[in-house]
Amino acid sequence: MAEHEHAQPDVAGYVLGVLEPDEAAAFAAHIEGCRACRDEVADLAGAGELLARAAPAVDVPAGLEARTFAAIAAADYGPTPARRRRWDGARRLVAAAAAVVLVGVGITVVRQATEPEAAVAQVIELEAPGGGPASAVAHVRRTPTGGVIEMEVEGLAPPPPGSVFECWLVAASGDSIDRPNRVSVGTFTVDQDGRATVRWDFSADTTRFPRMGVTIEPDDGNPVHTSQRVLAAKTLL
Amino acid sequence: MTGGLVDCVDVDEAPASARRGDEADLVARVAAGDQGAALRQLYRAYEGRLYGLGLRLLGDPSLAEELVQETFVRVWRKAGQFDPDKGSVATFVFTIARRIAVDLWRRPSSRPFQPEPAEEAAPGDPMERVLVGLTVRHALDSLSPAHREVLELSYRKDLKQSQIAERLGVPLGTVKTRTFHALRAMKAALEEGGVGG
Repeated sequence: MAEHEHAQPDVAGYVLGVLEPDEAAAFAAHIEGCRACRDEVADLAGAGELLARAAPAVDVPAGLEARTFAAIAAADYGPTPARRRRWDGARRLVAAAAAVVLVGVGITVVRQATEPEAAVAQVIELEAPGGGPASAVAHVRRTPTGGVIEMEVEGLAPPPPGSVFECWLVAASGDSIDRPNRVSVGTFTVDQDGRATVRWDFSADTTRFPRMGVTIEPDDGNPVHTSQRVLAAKTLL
Repeated sequence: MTGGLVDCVDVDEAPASARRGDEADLVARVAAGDQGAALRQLYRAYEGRLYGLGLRLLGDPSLAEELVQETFVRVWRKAGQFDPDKGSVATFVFTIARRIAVDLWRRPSSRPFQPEPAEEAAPGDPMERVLVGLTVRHALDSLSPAHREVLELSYRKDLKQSQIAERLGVPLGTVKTRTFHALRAMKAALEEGGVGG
């Protein structure tokens, strides 16, 4: 291919690894001789790598902005050494009213947080039990019939041929291969960089099965747990 | 009250370098007593990242909410101490957030299961890692929906471009040019967020 004056759009697909294999090979050969495209690959490579580290989208609780500004108004009521402001009586009254509102809001927040079916995700970090680079972060949302797990895995070496990773919720008392006491959440595998992003619905009661872990299992359709843990949650669900 | 929609459009379409200056300007306005539009615009730029940080560091929604509130009360109080020559607004905000996270973690009643956050930033510490992930998410969210969509379909690496074209119902050539412009926009947004692409 001839040298381009400007980099061509395939640069992005190449950096992100989404070209067809033959396209990727052709582009790799092309950048040997095309400085514009080569420079562009170098320029965009970092952004491409960072993309894979994006945190899952988080829903901010409704009304948080209003509660924060009420807290600021309440803090404003007291004299603050950093500021030299004069407040007229009316503004003091507004701030005092805001402070009263805030107390009520605080109670509501506590109530919401203790309800078992809170729509807000619980964050569970997982690590390799024997040490090592593998780690994962799972966001767990409860629903009336179980919940949803969204998990991002990194640094996990791909499983041996013919096997997959399996995610489990294990009984509070633990279990053993001989006496299993766990439910399977789902299976997955990782890409060549050891990363995976997965999402499962589950119907287990997390008060009975609060320990989350990942094992390697033969991909033979046999649902029985046979193998060793590669990730274990640092905290209980 | 501020015109929220107008503010958002301005922020989204400004070039990265202008946005960085804008944030410093917002802090200066807050320091000068603008507790309305400027503080609200600043708050909206950081609410999601601070809440996400709280969830990841403290593992608890109500502590995460407290982290957001306390951080912004202190951002407002300390706005006068912000020096744009010493660092970005993001560094200013997250340095405050780090101290509050440590305080919340140590509070006897909170007892989070998460490890204690470090008081000082260090490369590779959990908070820095979390912040990179949140900053990348924030940069993605700042892109146009079409750009964000094509990147989200690309970075998972389970689809090739022809499959992405099929999924989106647009020609392959469109996916290629859109991905290119989206990745350039992403690089600019990441640099704006302080994690250079």
